[in-house]
Amino acid sequence: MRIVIGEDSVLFREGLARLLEDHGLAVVATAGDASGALEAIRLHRPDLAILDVRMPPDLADDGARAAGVARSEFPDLGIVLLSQHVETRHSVDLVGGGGFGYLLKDRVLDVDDFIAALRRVAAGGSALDPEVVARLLVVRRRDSPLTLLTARETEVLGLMAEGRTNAGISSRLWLTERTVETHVSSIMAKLNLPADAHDHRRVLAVLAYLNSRATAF
Amino acid sequence: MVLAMAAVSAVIVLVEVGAPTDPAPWWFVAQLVVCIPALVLGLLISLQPSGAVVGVLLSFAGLVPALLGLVDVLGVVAENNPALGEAAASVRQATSGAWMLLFLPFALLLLVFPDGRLVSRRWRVVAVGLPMVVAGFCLLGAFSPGAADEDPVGVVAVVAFTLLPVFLVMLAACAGSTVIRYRAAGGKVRIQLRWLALSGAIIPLTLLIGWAGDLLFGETDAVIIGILASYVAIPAAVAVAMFKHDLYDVDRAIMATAANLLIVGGILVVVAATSAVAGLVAGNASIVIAVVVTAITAMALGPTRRAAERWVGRHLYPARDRSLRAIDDLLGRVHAGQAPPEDLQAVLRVALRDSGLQIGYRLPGSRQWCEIDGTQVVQRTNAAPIRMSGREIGLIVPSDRTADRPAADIASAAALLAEMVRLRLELASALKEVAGSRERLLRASYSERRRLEQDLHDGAQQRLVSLGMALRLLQRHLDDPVSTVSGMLDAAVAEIGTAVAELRQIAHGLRPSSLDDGLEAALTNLSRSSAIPIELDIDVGALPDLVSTTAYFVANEAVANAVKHSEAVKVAVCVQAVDGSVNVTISDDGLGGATLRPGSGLAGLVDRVSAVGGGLRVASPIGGGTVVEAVIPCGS
Repeated sequence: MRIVIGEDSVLFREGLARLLEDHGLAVVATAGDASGALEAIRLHRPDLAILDVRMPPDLADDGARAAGVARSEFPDLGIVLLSQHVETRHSVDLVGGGGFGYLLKDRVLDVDDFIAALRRVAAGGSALDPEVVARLLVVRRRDSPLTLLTARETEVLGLMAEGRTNAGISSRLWLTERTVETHVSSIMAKLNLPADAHDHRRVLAVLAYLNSRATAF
Repeated sequence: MVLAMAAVSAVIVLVEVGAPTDPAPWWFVAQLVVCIPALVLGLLISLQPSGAVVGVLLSFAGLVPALLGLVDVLGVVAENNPALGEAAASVRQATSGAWMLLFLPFALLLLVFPDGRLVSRRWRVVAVGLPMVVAGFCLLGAFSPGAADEDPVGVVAVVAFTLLPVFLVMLAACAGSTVIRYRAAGGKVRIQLRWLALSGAIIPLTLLIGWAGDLLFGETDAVIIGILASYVAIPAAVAVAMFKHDLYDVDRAIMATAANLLIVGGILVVVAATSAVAGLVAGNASIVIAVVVTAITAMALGPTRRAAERWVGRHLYPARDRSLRAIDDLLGRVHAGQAPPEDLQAVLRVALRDSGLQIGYRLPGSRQWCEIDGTQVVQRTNAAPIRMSGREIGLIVPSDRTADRPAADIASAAALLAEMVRLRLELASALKEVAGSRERLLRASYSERRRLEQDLHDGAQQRLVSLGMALRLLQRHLDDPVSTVSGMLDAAVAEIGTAVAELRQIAHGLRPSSLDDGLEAALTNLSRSSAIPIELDIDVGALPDLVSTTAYFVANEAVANAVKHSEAVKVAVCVQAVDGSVNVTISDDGLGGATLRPGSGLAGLVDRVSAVGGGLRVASPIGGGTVVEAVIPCGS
């Protein structure tokens, strides 16, 4: 997998590049600001771009804006946005489109999980930070269908929202894939969502559901 | 001219000294005494800039009766000495037309008062013609063969009688010139002319006195009292007008005088009518009745004096009367809670028929006059100050700069309302200032938080994550040679050291921990880390935390400003306890020109300091260094 990194902190950028390369991923270019990252993406046509949300020149959401541009130019490009802090609505909107990841920078330290997320996104899947998912799962109303879920089902729903596949969930929870499938169909039934075997479309449905509930109240 | 006048005065004084030995009539002495005010005041006025002409005329007015009196004395002396009988007769003869001289100076005064100039060049005809007529009349009198009335058909007499109407017309013209001048003039000149008009009230008064004397005693000699009084009143009024036209509200005086004249006239009409009736009924012994009727009428008319004054006011000064009533009405409505005191301006605009009239209020800490909406009001010479216990709290400014100054009565009647408005404005501006300051403090604290968040995210947090990545990397390389692993660990530990240092700096920005050891310790720390030398002079004991923190931030920000912008070579920080407050003074020898721009660090300090009830001043003349002085109350 070929990767471009856009990140203004030299320390973080170089550290990340070394870590990824050490894990056998190819970092083809790094850039210190949004326009540099875009140029690198156009030049190298990578499989994945890792962009810091806050980058020069404006030190605002330059990275997110660059991601939008990159997505429109290269629809198949996987993009992972790294942020210092959680921003729910924006991140869900982005990730809901697929081929997108939104993770806090600290997730880098959980190297295997992080690399798994990168691979998922590069393959067209999604990766939403658990912190964001946790906020989406907060029950805001007593009559919310989310109250119908068992603890285990809520756990599975969270992992689904993060973008994990059934296999990923089963390895994470030490369950068999069949058990996970049972939980998933139960969840979909309780939330009244269409049962779809495809991992990716399922994630999108879940995210859309959670997001609409989160913004409605 | 002035010297000549003084010389003549001296001669007159000499004559006066000699007077008692002469068998002169009693009024001659009075005549001499009476001319003194006009002479002295005329002399003083002529010393004034632009007062020369008026002063000389006034002195002239004083000289004429004195000279006539002198001539009379000579005549009497000559009569007493039979040898001079012939001479006495000729003196009488020569001065028979001189009475006209009495009017000449006053008439000329009317022409040129108050600035010594004619209204226009056309009036030269009168200014030259009148003296010529008077001179002609005097000469005729002197050279006619006998008294005019003894020779009614003589040529001289005919000429004399034709001169008389000309003289009267010219007198009227002089009065007319004053009216024209009044119409055209504004402000000061109008007030000066009103003083002159006030003294003119002596003329109807004299007539009334004459009438009263006639009614009561059957003779008009009492008129002399009025004439003598006029020689005091007219010079006095002219002097007041020339020296201090705003000494007293002349309008009030005019109103009171007019009202009194009305009353006296009223009394006399009643007395005249009753004595006429009584004369028919009770024969000739009516003097007692006249006196009784006078007393009763006076008592009856006494209470009507106020009403008369109001009536006069309404007709002489309708605008003033309207204003006073409108203010009174507004006061009533404000009292009843039906109108805000801010309506004062609108009410006065209507009453004074001036839609552009402004009322300026003085707000605390400001030297300017402001309208309610904050518009600045320009002070003009015809603006009437509103005073409250000696302080000027407001200003009534007519829109037309040549308009009359609104009467002092109106200003004082409006004082209570103006003070209410001013206090309300003061309160509103204080509240606005408080709200503004609160908002600025909040904004400052938000932007501080934002900066802090940025510092934490981009600094320490980033560093720690990088450190984590380095350790992860290390984890995968545990089997590598020891030297490599040890080198990576060294780098990681160095990274921790940097993160800690960054965190310390951020925390210090929040509040320097050295403040725990007192302001002096914190400032000493500040001086150690400063780029330019700081001279410390600290003379305070232990201070409350809030005070020392505020003082520290004032010093910190001011020093930072000096370092950044002033090119100063050194800075002095002085902290002293004064009267339960702490004075923090930071002075540098830099470029100066620092201002309290909104949003600047210095402006932020003003809010910080006023939030603890203190004040902050910045003196920063260009090229003269900057002094920031904060006074922070210490509380108890």
